[in-house]
This record gives sequence, C-alpha cells and structure tokens, in this order.
Amino acid sequence: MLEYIIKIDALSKIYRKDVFDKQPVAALNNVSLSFYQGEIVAVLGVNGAGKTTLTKCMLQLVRPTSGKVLFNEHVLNRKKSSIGYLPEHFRVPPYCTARGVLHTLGLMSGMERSELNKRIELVLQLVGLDDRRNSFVKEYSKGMIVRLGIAQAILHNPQLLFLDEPTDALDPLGKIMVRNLLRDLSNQGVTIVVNSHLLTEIELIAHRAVILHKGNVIREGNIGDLLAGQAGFFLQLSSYIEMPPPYSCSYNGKVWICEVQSTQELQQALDILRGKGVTPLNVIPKRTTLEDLFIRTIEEQ
Amino acid sequence: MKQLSLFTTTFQKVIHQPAIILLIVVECALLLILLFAVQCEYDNGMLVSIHVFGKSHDMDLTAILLLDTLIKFLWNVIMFLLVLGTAGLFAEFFTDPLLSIYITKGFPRYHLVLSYYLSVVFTIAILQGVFALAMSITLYLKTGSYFGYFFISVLLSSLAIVSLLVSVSSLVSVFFEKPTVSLVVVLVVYFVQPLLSFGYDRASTAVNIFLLLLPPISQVNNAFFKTLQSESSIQFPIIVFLYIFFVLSCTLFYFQKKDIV
Repeated sequence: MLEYIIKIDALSKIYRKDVFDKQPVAALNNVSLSFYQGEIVAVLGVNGAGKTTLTKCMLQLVRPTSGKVLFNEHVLNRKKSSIGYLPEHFRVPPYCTARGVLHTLGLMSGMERSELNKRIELVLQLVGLDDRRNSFVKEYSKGMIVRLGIAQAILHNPQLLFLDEPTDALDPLGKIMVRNLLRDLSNQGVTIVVNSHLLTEIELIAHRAVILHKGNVIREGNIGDLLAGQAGFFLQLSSYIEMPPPYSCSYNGKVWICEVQSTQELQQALDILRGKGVTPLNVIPKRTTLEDLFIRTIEEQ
Repeated sequence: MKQLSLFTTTFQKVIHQPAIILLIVVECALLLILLFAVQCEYDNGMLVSIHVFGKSHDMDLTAILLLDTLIKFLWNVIMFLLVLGTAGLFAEFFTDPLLSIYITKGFPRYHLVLSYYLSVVFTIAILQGVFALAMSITLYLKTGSYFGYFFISVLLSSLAIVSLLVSVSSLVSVFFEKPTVSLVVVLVVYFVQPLLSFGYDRASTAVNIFLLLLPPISQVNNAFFKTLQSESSIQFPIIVFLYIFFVLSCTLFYFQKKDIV
C-alpha cells in the first residue's frame, strides 16, 4: 500500500478581517484528505471554493483555525526543502534574468553550486526557456513567467509539488509541455497537487480529483471511478417511441435519441423497446468529461 | 549560502529603488565636484580661501557659517533620500509572491524578517561606507587633513536613522502591507519626532509617553551635530538598539501568526 505523504485532519479555516468582524468567512470546513506518494491530485472548485486556502494551509502559509496537517516525515524530509511551490500570481523583479532567479532560489533550497548550475540548464530546457536564460524578466511574456515559475518549483527535485493554476497563461505547446513534465515527475514518485480551472487539462493528467465547494469537499475519488460512475448511453432510434419516465426521446435532426444514465437503465430501456418490437439503430456509450462531472456536482449543491 | 542569496536579492532590490539611485547620483556628483571643481589655498598651513568652479572665496566667518549650513543641508538631502528609498521596502517584502516560496524552502519566518532587515541595513551601510571612504580620501588629497572621524560619524548616524525607520516601516508594513502607507507613516515620524522632542521637558505626560513610542531620531541628529563640534555622544547607540529591538520584536510576533494570503 502506498504511504501517505500529507494527511489533513478536520481542517477548518475562518477568515476574519479583525477581531470585531461579525461576518467571518469560512474558507474551509472540516476538510479531511490524504495525499499519497507519486499521485497527481487535482483540487477543483469555483472561485472562492477554498482551493488556494487548502494549498496554503498545507504549505503552512495560512494557519488553520482548527484541525491538523500531518507530513509523513519518513517520506518527506521537510528540513531539506523538499517542497516545490508555484503560487497563483508568480512574479519576479523585472531586473532579474531567468538564470539569476533560479540561481538564487536554488541556493536558498540548499543546493550545491556545481549541482545547481547543471540543474538550472536542465530545467530551463524542460520548460523551454533555455534560449532566453539570460534575458531580463521584464522582456518575458505572461506564459514565459509561468514557465519560469514551474522551473523554480521543480529546480531542487522536490518530493511534493504544489501548483496553483500552472497552465492558465500557457499556449497549447506549453500546456503539452506541462502535461508531459507532470507525468514524468509523477512516475519518479513526486506527489503533485494541482489547482486549476482548466478541467480538460486536468482530466488528461490527474489520478485523483477533489471538488471543493464553499469550503467543503463535495466529491473526491479517482478520475476513472468518478467518470465511470457518471457513465450513460445514447440509444439511436429511427422513429419516435413513447417511453415511460424517466426515459424520454428527443430528435437531433437526423435520428431520435433516448438517453439512459446507467447500464441497469440501458437494460430496462432495451426491454421496453423489445416489448414494442423496436430495435435501436445504435447504442453509443456516453462520454462524460470531468467538466460535465464538475458542473453537475456544483449544480447539485 | 542561504543567507547570502537572500542578502544578494535584497541588495539588488534596494539599489533598484529610484530614491536610492538618485542618492547614488547625488553622492557621485558631490564627489566629482569636490574632486575637480574645488581647490584649497593655504598660507602657513592655514586654509585661507577656497576656489569653487574657478571663483575664489575667502575663509572668513561668513564662509564658515555657509559651509556649516551647506553640510547640514546635504545631510538632510542624503537622509531624506535614504528614508524615501527604504521606507516602502518592507511592505513590498510582505506582499512579494517570492515570500511564500522562501517560506516553503524551510526558512523560519522570524529568520526571514531579520535577514531582510539586516540586508537592507547592510546595503545602506555598504553604499554609505563607500561614499564616506571616497569623500575622506578626496578631502585628504585636497587638504592634507584627515576627515575620517567626521565621515564615520556621518555613516553611523545615517545608519542609525535608517535602522530606526526601517524597523518602524517593518511594523507598519506587517499590518497594512501597502508601501504608500508605510512611506507616509515613516516620513511623518521622521519629520514630527524632532519637532515634538523640542518641547520634551515641558510637554504633558501624554505627549511624553507618545514621544517614547517614536524612534529617537532627534537624539541621533543631536549626536551627529555634536561630532561636528568635536564632541562625542555614546548613549544614543543604546537607545537606538533598545528601540529597534522592541519594534522588531512586535513585527516578528505579529508576522509569526500572520496568514500569507
């Protein structure tokens, strides 16, 4: 069994403007989660759902009102700076170069100079900034700054990586680069926690998803299991057939479609059609995306 | 190595502040004027006249008073630029996205604040130290007299004031996180404290208690001007140290509990 790397136990965070604030905001409500070695976990939620607060509580940047964040000290040596972090609004002073920034942050992570220089070249190549290594950051585009942010997060070979919106400003090639990079890191045993609104990207890389809403975990599980639970089928029919509830038929301009939500419903619908002497033209498995699942889950709330 | 990299980053940040760039320009201009546009004339080892941009000035009482006023004016210009250049730095530090990255790299919070504070003070010490050394050497070459004592007191006094005001700015910034608020508070403190301290003995108890909360700038200024009259003051470093210790402790206490959002 995989060992947990972080365990969150009944974590709550209430933000107050000051001690007299009569309308405090509960950013997290009794959240309990575990993160395991080598997995990519997507933390999803609408704006203000508590994603960034959850990340910051795990990074000890925000102090929880109650609850605990436990690190597995056998796996994660916190004294050796084994955490990589890309904040949502990553910025560096405009007079710095990519190489300079990485050099400073590498030294701060306790890396040796000789190892650091090799590693800088490697990560700049990985994020596609090797030809701009000595350019000033003020000449960089938004996407290039995000690439630099990713480079600094992985520079010191962290065992745990937190990425807040890592693909937001990236072009399609940049997104593919991040996707491949995260897969490689996960294969090497790095645990990755990603906050993102780009659900199609997340669906391609994440092993597990946690959906937060108003500070509560409303759905959690392996991406495959979550999507399989949402699977359904479309029955294509040549003509309109009267079906009992919950089934209904709709015309898409070419054929009549009857939508069913599960294998059990499919069996029942086929029995009804058989009873009416109708054979469907086709049975098409419905492809549910993470985006569908996310929207449905939020709407249910 | 970790400390050195934080110092290098802070050093770069300080010398990129517009007011500090202006300060370096002013100090370089002063040095060049002294080097190329000022000539001294001696008679039997006594300074009798000064030639500035080719124009001769006798060293009479008026000239001595003028020189004294000029030194005080330059001191105020240098101090004002130093205050402008350093007052907003802590607010930028507390809102810097890199701060959260530094914390994830295992730096304790108190360590970060202290390192940043010392880095700012050391950077100013280096800038002012180089200026003081260059001025001392230039004046020695021009006059044959040793002005080291004077410039060491310039260096120490300016450092003491910067250290005091940066500590105040750290406390203001940890609460408000806005460079403008920090700058305004520090400038008000810088100008108001010496004014209030004029009537220290006669003021009400409330005003005197309020004065204790402000950094002892007037004491440092007095100590500096005493050195101009070859007097020395040794009590101000203790007051300065105690004040900085108290204010930084308050900053650290609050920052230790603060959410980095």
